[in-house]
Formats: sequence, C-alpha cells, structure tokens
Amino acid sequence: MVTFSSISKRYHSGAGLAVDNISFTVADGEFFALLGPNGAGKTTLVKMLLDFVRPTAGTAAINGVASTNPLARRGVGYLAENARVPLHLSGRSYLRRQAELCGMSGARAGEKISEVLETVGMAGKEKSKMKTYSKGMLQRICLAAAMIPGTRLLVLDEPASGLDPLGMRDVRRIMEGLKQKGVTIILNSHMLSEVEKTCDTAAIINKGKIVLKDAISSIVREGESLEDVFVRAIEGPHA
Amino acid sequence: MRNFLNIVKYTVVDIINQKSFFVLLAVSIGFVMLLRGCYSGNYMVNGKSLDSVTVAWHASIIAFHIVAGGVLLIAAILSMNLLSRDRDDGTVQYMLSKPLARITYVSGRAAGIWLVSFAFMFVLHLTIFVITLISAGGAMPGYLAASCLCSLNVLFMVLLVCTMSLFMPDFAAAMVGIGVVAVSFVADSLFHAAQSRLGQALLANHPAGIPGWEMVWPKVCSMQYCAVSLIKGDVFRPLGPVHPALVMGGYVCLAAAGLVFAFQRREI
Repeated sequence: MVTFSSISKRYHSGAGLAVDNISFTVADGEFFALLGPNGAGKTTLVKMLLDFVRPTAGTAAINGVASTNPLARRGVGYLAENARVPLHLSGRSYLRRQAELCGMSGARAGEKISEVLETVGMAGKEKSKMKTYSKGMLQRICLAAAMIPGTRLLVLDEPASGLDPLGMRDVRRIMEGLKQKGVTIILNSHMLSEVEKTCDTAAIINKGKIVLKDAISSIVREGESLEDVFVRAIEGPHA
Repeated sequence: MRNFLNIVKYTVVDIINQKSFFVLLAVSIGFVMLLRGCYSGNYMVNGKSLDSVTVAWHASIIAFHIVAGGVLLIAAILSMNLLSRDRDDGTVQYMLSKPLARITYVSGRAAGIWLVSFAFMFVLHLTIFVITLISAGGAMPGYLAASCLCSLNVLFMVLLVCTMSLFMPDFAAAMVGIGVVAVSFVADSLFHAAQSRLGQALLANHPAGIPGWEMVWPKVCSMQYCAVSLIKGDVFRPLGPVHPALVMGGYVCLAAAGLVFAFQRREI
C-alpha cells in the first residue's frame, strides 16, 4: 500500500507549493492514475515517493515504510518521464545492472532479464549498444528495467512517451498483464483514453492539489469520456 | 556492501571501456619508458663521473614525483563530471530507484574513480621500478609502498572534486581541486627546500616561521615527500607538528563527510 500523508513540496523559498498538502492511499493491486496538466505536481509526487525529492512537509510511505528508508523501494520498479539511459551499455548489460542492484545474480538474473525482454518485445535485440536503439526501443528497455525488481509496485511516468500506436497498445497490454498478476501500479499519464481503458482509480491534480479522486467508473458518467471529466475538473464546470 | 561493490565495479568498467583511457595509459607508459635513456648516459657533477645506479636513483625519484602529481590531475578530470554525467544519462535515477542508500551510491562511485586512478599510478610506478631494476641492476625497496602511500592524495582529490562538483560547474570543481594541490606543492616544496643544507645556509640570517595557514593546508606535497622518504630510507621531517598522513587523513574524512552530506540533501 502506498500512502501520502499531508505531503507538500516547495522547491525554493518564496516560490509557490509544487505539491500542496496532499493525502491519499493506493491499495495493494490497485491500478492508480495520476492525471493533471503539465506542472501540476504529478512528477514531484512520484519523486517524493521514491525519495528523489524530500518533502517540505508530510510523509510518503510504501507498505508502511517511510520513503526516506531505502528498504521502502524493495520490489519497486520505476520508469522515469523521458527516461534516459547510459548509451554506452548494451540493453542486456543495463538490465543486468538493474538485476544485480536488486540482489539478483547469476542464473536468476539471467532468467529475469530474458523474461522481461520477452514481455516488452525486445528479445534478440538486447546485445546491441543502446546508442543504436530507436526512441521506442529505449522506452521498451526502460520499461523492461522497471519490471526487473519483482514487482510489488510499479511507478510509471508517461510510459507510452515516444511510442508509436502499436507500441502504446503493447504497453497497455503489458500493464494489463501486470495488473492481472496483482502488481500495484501508479501511472502518470496524459493519455486519457489509455487510462480510461486500464486504470481502476484516478486522481486529478491541479496546481499541487487534488481536485478529484475516485474510481474511474464513478467519475466518468454515461455518455462522456475521461477527457471531459478532466477538462471540467481543471477548467471548471463551464469550460 | 554487495551493492557498494557492484557500484565500484560499474564505475571501473565504465572508465576502462573508454578507449581514451587506454590511450592515456599507453602514452603515459611510453613517457615513463623514455627514462631508460637517462640510465645509459655519462653524467659529470663537479668533475666527478656519476655511476648508473646513482643516476637511476635520482631519475626514479623525480619520475615518482611527476607520476604522483600527474595522476592527481587525471583523478580530477575523471571525478569532475562523475555525478553530473550520472544525472544526465539517468544512471542516478535507475540506481537510486532500487533499495540503495544514497551514501552507498556516492561512496561506490568515488571509490571506483579512486581505484582506477590509483591503479593508473601504480602501473606507472611499477614500470619505473622494473626499468630501474633492469637498467641499473638495483631494486628500490619501498618504491611501491611509497606509491600506495600516495593513494591517500588521490582519494583526497577525488572526494574534493566530487564534492565541489555538487556546488559549481564541473570544470570549476576540477580547478578548485587542482588549485588546492598546486598551493600545497608550492608551499611544501618551499619548506622542504628550506630544510636542505643549501636552504639552511641561505636562510641562516633570516629565520622564518611557518605561516599558520600552511600548517593546516592539505599536505599533498608533503605526503609525496613522506612517501619518497620511504624509498630513500630517510627520516621524514614534517611541516608543522602533525604528520602529513594524519592531516591528509583528516581532510579525506572531511571531504567524504562533505560529499555525503551534500549528496543526501540533493534533489534528483
């Protein structure tokens, strides 16, 4: 279970709050979407969960362990927005490093790497240096890396970024497969149609505050789309 | 501990995978090999001919200082963009999204750079040692131990530049590291020159005390003189009341604490 308790973040004194006193929980096995316009505070929220950024106030925890404790990240996979990779490594070396840092070694690491490569459709291409990969291939290898840890919790920040429509469909299928396995997923995305198809719950954030949070089935009324709900939540009922 | 060793391994592998590293090592070994020419010449001092062992001895000591000083420059260059490169290529994010403490990551990275720089210096010193052994027919006991002692200087440089790179542009961080070492070389060399017979004769009528700042400044050069005293078998006379190894040990702890403290507070 992921918990945010009255969490706030101000990057510089004098600046406004990037995240303003947000509290919510994500239950085990839930597929949770964080939605909002650019600069709403979604990525900051995710970074505080992973202890990349320290909150100004409040706490974040994974399964009751404070995010400042490295053990909270055991079994947590993360795909960053516009993920970058060390291009001098081959896809396999990159994934092997990820596996080793998660405590895997030898045959177990090899099996896990082969499994995630198969899942993201990169099997057979992993021996090339990543500098030869297309943007879509890089995104797939990053997704594979995020799946290496296990995975108890998967935090995906714009996973479909840079992918063509077929790639997006593949990512959706991968996420659905993970959901079936009971993996908790937190998804940051602007792809509202994909979110509507796959997620259980969504929170819409604007200017650092949650403006709407509920099950997708509850917030999307008959005859409208998640996009309509999103626009209404951000711009007001008369938009 | 396992993850610390993994990060050290990745750092070493990443550096030695760069062709430019081996080119630099080959060029450095090539320069060191030129020393062989010194051993075969005829040298006269005050009308007396010097034997090859004496020449080899002095040439090896000079080469020792040049290599130990040069490697500090290489350590500064390797360290200056270590953390910024990791930030730019996403390495820091992929590592710290794992159950890995920041201190493990940053200490592993610094240890990797130190290990490569030290190995670089040791290989060059070993080359000089072997050349002296073959050309002059005499081993220099303590030469390799002296090289190990100088690794403390390398560690100081790596930690200092890494710490500075968290607060300023990479190039400026390297310049700060090189500047600190340069001041140490000038100040310590002047002191050691003043300790020589010629220096004492020249300064006999003008005894000068050691300025306070010089007592507390990092004793990089004094460490090299201390290391050379191992080769020569001399008694080392430190600048100030504290042995340079202790001063440098203190600075290494200080720089390590600064690096860890600054990195813990850094946003990724």
